[in-house]
Amino acid sequence: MRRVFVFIFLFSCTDKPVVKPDFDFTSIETIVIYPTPDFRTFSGSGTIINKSIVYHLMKMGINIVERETTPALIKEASLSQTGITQNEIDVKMTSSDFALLCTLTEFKDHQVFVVPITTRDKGSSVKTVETIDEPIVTKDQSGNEIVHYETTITETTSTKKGSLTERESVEYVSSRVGMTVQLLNASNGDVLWTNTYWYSSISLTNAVNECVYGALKPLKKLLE
Amino acid sequence: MKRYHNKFIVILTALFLTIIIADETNKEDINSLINKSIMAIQDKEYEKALSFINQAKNVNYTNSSLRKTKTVDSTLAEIYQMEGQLLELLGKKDEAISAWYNCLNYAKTDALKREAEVHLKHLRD
Repeated sequence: MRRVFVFIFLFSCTDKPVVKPDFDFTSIETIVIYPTPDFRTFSGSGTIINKSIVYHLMKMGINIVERETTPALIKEASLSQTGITQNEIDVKMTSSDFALLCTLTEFKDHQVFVVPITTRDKGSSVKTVETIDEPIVTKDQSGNEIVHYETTITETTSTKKGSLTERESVEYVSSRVGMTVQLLNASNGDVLWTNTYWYSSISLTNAVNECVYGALKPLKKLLE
Repeated sequence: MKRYHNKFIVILTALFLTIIIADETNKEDINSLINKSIMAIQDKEYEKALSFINQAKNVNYTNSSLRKTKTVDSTLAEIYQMEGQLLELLGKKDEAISAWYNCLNYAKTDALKREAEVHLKHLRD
């Protein structure tokens, strides 16, 4: 029963993507991916995210044009051989009406640090009570033996002195990646779809992969 | 009658001391097992790390056997969080879901509760 409540709670509090109503997403065939700026504390993070976005969108069957790398590649590899002109490159880059922009809200690798811990032992005092029953034999007037017991109670109190102990504990903070993605209609600047997502993992690679997958998964449903 | 009364006190004292010693041993075991697991994660030995976490889960818990760290969410919630992340990385999705449910149940801070919720939603979708 508790699990049912947790499940209901989960689906009532999570962030959902925002979609422009009445837009036909199935008409989208090509998306231009713009460079993602690096997160302020992690150089190269923008490129890592962009490559992961390309991977996941291509898996969805979308044709991708990378705004940053494609012009340079076309210039280098094809321009001289095919006689393609700069204008034609520009046409290719603007042939899609749809652009995907991403902003990193978090990009943190895992951390392990050692924390010194001081444990205070307050000491203790233990009282032990020992009872010994010793038989004492006496004789009555007619010479019969009478046994009676004499009880001896010994009380021992042992005291343990308090102390301070220093030791170390290893603490762990997971890798964490957060992002906001927007799909724009390049012809009029309308935002068609936007989503925000974050994910944590023991491995940064896994955090990036799962974050991008989680962020783009709702878009996949719209494009199908 | 008095004799039995005294013996009862001696037995009680011995029992009390045994509980204190056992509790101290638990604390040390949990700390040491979590530390070993983190070091195994550092070396990317995820199966080994998971085996230490499983051992830490099996330590007999009492309310007082909290891991003494600077974080608030220690012991069980922290153990289940690590277990969930390790299982995800090892591709054991169903077991990971179970671990994150347990993490959500034992978590004391909003941050860890939210993390468990995000992982559960991600794995269930």
